[in-house]
Amino acid sequence: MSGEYYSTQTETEINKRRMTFFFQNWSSLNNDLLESIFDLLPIVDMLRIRGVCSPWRSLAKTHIKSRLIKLKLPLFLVLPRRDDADMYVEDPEDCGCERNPNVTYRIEKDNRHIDRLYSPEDKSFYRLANPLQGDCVGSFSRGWLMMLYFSGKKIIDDQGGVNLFMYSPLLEIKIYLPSPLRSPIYNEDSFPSSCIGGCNNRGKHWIQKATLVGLDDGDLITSNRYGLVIIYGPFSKLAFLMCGETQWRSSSSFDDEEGYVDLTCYKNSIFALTKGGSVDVWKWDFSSFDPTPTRKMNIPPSLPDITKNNHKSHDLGEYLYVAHTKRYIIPTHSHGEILLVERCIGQFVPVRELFHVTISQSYFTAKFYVHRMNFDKPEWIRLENIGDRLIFVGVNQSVSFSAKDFPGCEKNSIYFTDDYWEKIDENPLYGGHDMGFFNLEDEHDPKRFHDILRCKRSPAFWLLP
Amino acid sequence: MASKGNLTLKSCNGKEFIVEEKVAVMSTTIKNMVDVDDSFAQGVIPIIGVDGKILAKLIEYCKEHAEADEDEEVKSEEYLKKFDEKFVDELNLNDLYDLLKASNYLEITKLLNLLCQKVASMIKGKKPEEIRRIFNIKNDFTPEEEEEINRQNPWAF
Repeated sequence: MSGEYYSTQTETEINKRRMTFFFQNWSSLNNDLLESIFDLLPIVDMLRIRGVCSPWRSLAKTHIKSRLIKLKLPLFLVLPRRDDADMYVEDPEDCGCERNPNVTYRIEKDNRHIDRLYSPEDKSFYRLANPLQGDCVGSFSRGWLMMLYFSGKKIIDDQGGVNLFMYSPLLEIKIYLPSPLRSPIYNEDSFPSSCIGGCNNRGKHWIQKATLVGLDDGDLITSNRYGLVIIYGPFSKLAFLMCGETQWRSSSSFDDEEGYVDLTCYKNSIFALTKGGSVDVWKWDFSSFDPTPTRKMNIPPSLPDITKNNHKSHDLGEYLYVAHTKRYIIPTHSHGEILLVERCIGQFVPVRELFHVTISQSYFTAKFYVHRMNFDKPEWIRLENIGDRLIFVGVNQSVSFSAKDFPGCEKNSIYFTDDYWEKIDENPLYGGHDMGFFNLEDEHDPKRFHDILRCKRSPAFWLLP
Repeated sequence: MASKGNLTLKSCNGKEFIVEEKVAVMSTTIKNMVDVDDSFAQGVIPIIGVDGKILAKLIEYCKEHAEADEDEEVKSEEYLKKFDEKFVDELNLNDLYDLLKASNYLEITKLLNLLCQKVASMIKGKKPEEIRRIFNIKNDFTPEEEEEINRQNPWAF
C-alpha cells in the first residue's frame, strides 16, 4: 500500500462528507447508513417506511425489492393444529425424519398448539413462531395465504360478513380484504354444519377456491396491479376484487348456474372450470374493476367415466371403489399449456380380508388423470405423463413447477392434500388424512405421506414458493 | 508502523484530545492513517467534520471497548452490554445523528452497529407519521406520490 493511494482516496471522501456533515437532517441521511438501519428492520416496517419521506421512500422501495428477490422461499406443507396431539409421537426423529440444523425459522418449545411446517424437500419439520389464527381458504405463490378468521365460535360478524385477510406466515404480514358476502340476513345458521364432530372447515362454505391474478413477475406487497378471484358461496359462483377496491364484484357474464370447481390465471386471463369440465375465460388487465368476459369453451364431457374403469385397476382392487372425482385446472407456464387434472377418490369397503384398512381412513385418493387443453377444438386430450413437472393440488391455487427446482420431490408426480370437503367433517375419526403423491408412471396407488403428517379436522395445505 | 503510544486527535472546532493508540485505532479510518503514514503517529490527526462534543463521546466509547478487548477480566461482556445500553440511551436525537455519521466516517464498526440498532428500534412498529415526528422529518411528498402511497395496498396494515 502506498501513501499516494491513501491520500487521493481519502481526501475526496472527506470532502464529499464535509458537504453534508453539518445538518442533522434524518431525511437526507446517507444511503449506506440508511441501508444498514433498514437491514435490521422486518419487512412490515419497511413497508411503512415508504410513507415517511421521499428519500426514505425511494431507498425503501429498492431495498424491499432486493430483499424479496433474495428470499428464496421453500415449499412447505402447513400442518394445522391437531387436537389429538397426545395420541401421536411429536418428535420427528421418531418417525425417521430429521430436523435440519440449518434452519432459520424459530422452533418453539411448546408444540401443543403451534402450527407445524413440513418440508418435503429435506423431509424435516419446522415450526411457525406465530401460529396461524383462522381458517385457510386459499394459498398462493410466494407464501401467501387467504384466511378467514372466526372469533371464537362465531362465524359471522355484526354486519353479516366475515373477517377475510391475506397473510404471509413467513413475512408475518397481514392484508385485510373486504368480506365477499355481506348481508344482514346471514347468521350463524346460514351455513349449517352437517358433521358429527363439529364443523371445522366452515371457511369452505364461504370460499371454495381462490387465485391471485396479474403477478407473473412481482410480489404482492410491491405491486398494486393485481387482483383476486374466488369461487364463493353456496352456489360456487365467481367474484373478483382488484387491489385497493372495497367491494367484490360478482360475475354474471356467463351462464354459471352449474357453478365452478377451480380457476386459474394464465397470461392475464382467468380460466374457470365448471363442474362439467367446460371452461369460461375472462381477460383482466386491470384497466377496469371488472374483467372482460372473452370466451366460453363448451367442452363436451368426453372425459372417461372413471367410476367404471377403476373398480379393479389397482392394488386395493375391488375393495376400493371410486366414490368421488375432483377436477383442477392448472397452467404450465414452461410448456404454455393448460392442464386438467382429475382426482379419483376411492371409498373403502370394509371387508374381512382387508383387516389393515382402518375405518379411520375411510377414503383415499386412488388415481389421477391428466389432460391437456386443445384450444382449437376445444377439447381435453389425455396425457400419459407430465415429464419433469410437478403438480400441486388441494386447498392451494393449483400449480405446476419444474421438478428441477425441487430436488427432494419426485418428477412426473402430483402432490395432493385433502380437500374432500364433503367428507372431511363427516366423522370425527377421519378427515384431512388424504395426502401424498402420485407418480403418473406408477401403476400403484399414490404414496401416502407418513401418518405423522396426518391432520385431523383441518387438512394440511401447501405453502407455495 | 507507529509504536504503542499516544495519538493526538483534533476536532473540527480545534479541540485536541490525547488518546492511547489502541483506543484511537478502534476507528479503521484512523488505523489506516497511522498505518500508511508515520507522521500522523507523531503529529496531530485532524478529525474533519466531527466537533469536540461528539469526538469526546466517540473516545469515551472506544476507551471502554478497547480496554475490554485487551483484558476480558476487567470488563466483562455484561459490563459492556450495560455500558452500551446506557451510552445510547443518554444520546439526544442530534447527538445520535452526529455519532451515526461520525462512526460511519471513522469506521468504528461496533459503535455503528449499536447506533443503527438504536435507530431501528426507534422505527420498529411505528406508523409513518410517528416516525416523522420522532426524527423531525418533513413530509415532502408531492401530491402524486401521496396518491400513490394511498393507492398502494390500501387494504393493508
